[in-house]
Amino acid sequence: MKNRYDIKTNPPQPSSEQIEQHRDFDALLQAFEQAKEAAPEPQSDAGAWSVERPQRPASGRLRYLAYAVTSAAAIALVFWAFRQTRSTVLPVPVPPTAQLAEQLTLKAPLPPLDQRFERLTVADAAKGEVLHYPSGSEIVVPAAAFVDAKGYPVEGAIEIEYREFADAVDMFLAGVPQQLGKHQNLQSTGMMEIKGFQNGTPIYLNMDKKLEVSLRGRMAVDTDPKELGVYTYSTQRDAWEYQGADRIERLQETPTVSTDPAEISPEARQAAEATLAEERPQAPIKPGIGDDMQVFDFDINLEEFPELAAYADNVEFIGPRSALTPATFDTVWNAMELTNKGNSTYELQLIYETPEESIIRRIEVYPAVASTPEARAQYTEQKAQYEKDLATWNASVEALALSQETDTLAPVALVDIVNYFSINRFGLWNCGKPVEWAQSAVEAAFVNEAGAPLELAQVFVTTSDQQLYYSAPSDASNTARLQYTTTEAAPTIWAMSADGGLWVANTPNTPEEQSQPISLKGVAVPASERDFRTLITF
Amino acid sequence: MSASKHTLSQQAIQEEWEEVRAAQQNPAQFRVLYDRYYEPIFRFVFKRTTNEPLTADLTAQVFLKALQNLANYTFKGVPFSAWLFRVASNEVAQYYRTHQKTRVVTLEEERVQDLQEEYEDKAQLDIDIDTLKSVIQDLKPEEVELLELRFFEQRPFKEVAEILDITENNAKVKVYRLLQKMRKKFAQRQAP
Repeated sequence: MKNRYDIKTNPPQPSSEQIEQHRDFDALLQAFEQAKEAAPEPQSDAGAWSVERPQRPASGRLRYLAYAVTSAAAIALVFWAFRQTRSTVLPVPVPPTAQLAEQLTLKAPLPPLDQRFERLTVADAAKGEVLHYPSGSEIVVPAAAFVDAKGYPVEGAIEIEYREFADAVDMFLAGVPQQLGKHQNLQSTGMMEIKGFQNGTPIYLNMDKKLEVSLRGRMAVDTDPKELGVYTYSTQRDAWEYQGADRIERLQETPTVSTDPAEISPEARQAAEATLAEERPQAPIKPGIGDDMQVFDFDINLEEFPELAAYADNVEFIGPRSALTPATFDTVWNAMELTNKGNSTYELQLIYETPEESIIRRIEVYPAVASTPEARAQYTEQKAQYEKDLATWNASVEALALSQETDTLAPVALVDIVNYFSINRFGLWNCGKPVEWAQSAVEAAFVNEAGAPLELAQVFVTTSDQQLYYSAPSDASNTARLQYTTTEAAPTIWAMSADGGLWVANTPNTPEEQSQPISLKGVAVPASERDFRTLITF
Repeated sequence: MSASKHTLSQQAIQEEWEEVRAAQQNPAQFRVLYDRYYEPIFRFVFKRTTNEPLTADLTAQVFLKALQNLANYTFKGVPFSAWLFRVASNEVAQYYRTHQKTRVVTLEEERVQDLQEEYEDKAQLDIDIDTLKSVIQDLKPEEVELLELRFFEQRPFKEVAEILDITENNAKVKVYRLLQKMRKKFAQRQAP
C-alpha cells in the first residue's frame, strides 16, 4: 500500500544564511501591486451610485439597503466593542522552541582540565549592557534581549557564562565536536561558547533580538578573509551550521611568534648554536697549571687572538704531556700555527717542511695562567661576566632556533584579529575557514612503546599552527583514518583509550611516516592545562 | 506569571498590532513584519516540504496572501505570527492537494522519546522510530498537523490553538484523542 506520508528522519535544516538568500520584500511588494492591478477594481459606493443613478432602486431595494446599512453599523459597533475588550486580553508569548531543542552541553574528555566559564553579569536585562571578556572580546546585549522557556521577557539581573577557545588544546579539553568526516573541520579564527541564566535557570534569546559579538582571535597571515565564515553548532543535527560571512578587523601587521622554549626541538637548537658559535662568549681561564701539563713557550699575537687580550702577557699554552713524544722535543720544527677551535680549545700545529713532504704534528692545547692572587681575583670577575654573557647568548640561540622552527613547522604565522558577528541564540560559535582535505587519507595504526598494538577509542590530531583540530575514531582493526593538508608540516597526535587512558606520540608525525605504526606512550592525565600542553608539544 | 511580564508582553503585542495597522494603510509598512517572520515561516514550511526552492516559493505565496488579506485581519489578542502560520499551513495543504504529491513529514529522532513521555504507562510502551513512522501513516492529515505542531515542533497548546484557529481547550481535547488513538496503534504493533 502506498504510504500517505513521506516521513523524513532528521533532515538537514537550512541555515539562516540560506534562508536569507530567498528573502526579497521588494519582489513581494511588486507582486502584490501587480496582482492588485490585474484584479477588477472593487466598486466603491460612489461609483455604484453613479452607475445606478439613472435607474433609481425600487422602494423594496431601498428598504433592504437601509436594513443592510443599519446592520453593518450594528456589526461595526459590536466589533469595535469586542476589539476594545480583546485589546486587554492576556498576550501570548512565543516560546523559543528552536533554542529549547538546541541546548548544548559539551562533554570534556578530561573533565578536571575542562576550561571554566567566565561569569559576566547583565545588571538589568530590560536595559541591556556591554559585556567585556579578559581577552578583549565584547558582547553587546540590547535591551529586552532575553526570554524564558515559555517566551516571556526576562527582566532584572542575568548571568552570562562565557568562554573562548583560543587553540586546539582549548577545543580538545572542552570537547568541541570536530570529528573527521562527520563535522565540518574548520581552521578557527575564534571560537566561543555562551550561555544565559537567571537564578540558575536557563534563559534564551528573544526571537527579535541579536547579541553583537566582537570576538578576539588569531588568523593565519595568508588567509583570505573572504573565506571566513561564522558557524554555530547544532546539537540537533550534530553539525556546524553556516550562519554567514565573518567580518574581521586585523589588529596587527606583524605576525606573533610564540616564545615558549618547550617548542624548540634539539635539532633547531643545534642549528642555531652553530650559526651563533662565533658569538659565543669564551669561558675565562681558571688560574693554575697542572703538573701533568706541558707549557709551550711562545709569543702570542693578541691581535690574532683577541679573546686572550685580557690576560696580556700572563697567558701561556699548555697541553697534556701524554700527547707528546720524545720526537716532538727532538725535532727542529720550522713552522708553527695556532688555531682557535672554540670552547677554550686551540690546535697547535708543529710543521717540518722538506722539498719532498711536510710533517705536521697536531696537539690540542689550552690557554693557561699561573695561579697568582691577582689572576684568581681576575678570574672571579671574568666568570661573573661570562655567565651573564652566556645567558644572553643562549637567549639569542633560542630566539633563532624558534624562528627557524616556526619557518619549518608552522609556515602559517598568525596575526591578532577581531571577528565581528551577531548571534541569535546561545551555544557554541566558531569563526573560521573550512578545511579542504586535498591529500588522500592515511590509515594509521598505533602501537605502544613495546610495539604492541593499541586499542584506542579516539585519535586526536592538531597542526603546528594550533588552529585546526580534529578527532578520528579508531575502528575495530585498531586503525584510524587520518588526513593531512599540505599546510600541516608537523601534525601532533595524541589519543584516548576507551577507559579514559591518555596516549601521546613521542615525536611529531608526518604523512610519509604513517605507513609505519605510530608509537604512543601511555601517560598519566596531567594536573593542569599547562601540563597537558607541555605533554603534547614537541 | 508576574504582572511585569504580562504588561511587557501586552505592550509587545500591542506594538505589533500597530505595525499591522500601519501595513493595512500602506503595504510598504509590511516590511517590518515580513523581516521578523520570514525565517520562522520559511522553517515552518520547510519542515513540511524539506525542499528549499519549493519552500521559498511557498513562503513567498504565504506572504503575498497575507499582504492581500491584511485588510481583513483583525486583532484578536494573539500574535500576528499565529495568523501567518495558519496561512502557511493552508498554503502547504493546498500545494499537496493541487499537485497530488505525498505530504512530507519531518521527524526528529529526539521527539520519539518526548512522545513516549506523554503516556502514563510509558514503561510498558516501547516506541521506536520505525513504529512511530508506521503509526503516522495511519493518521489523517489534520491529525498529523496536530502531531507536528504539538510534539514535533513542541509548541504550547495556546499557540497550537491559535494556529489552528480553535480554542485552547479544544486543542487539548484533540491532542488527548490523538494520543489515545496512537496508543492503540502502538499496542497493536507491539502485540506478538
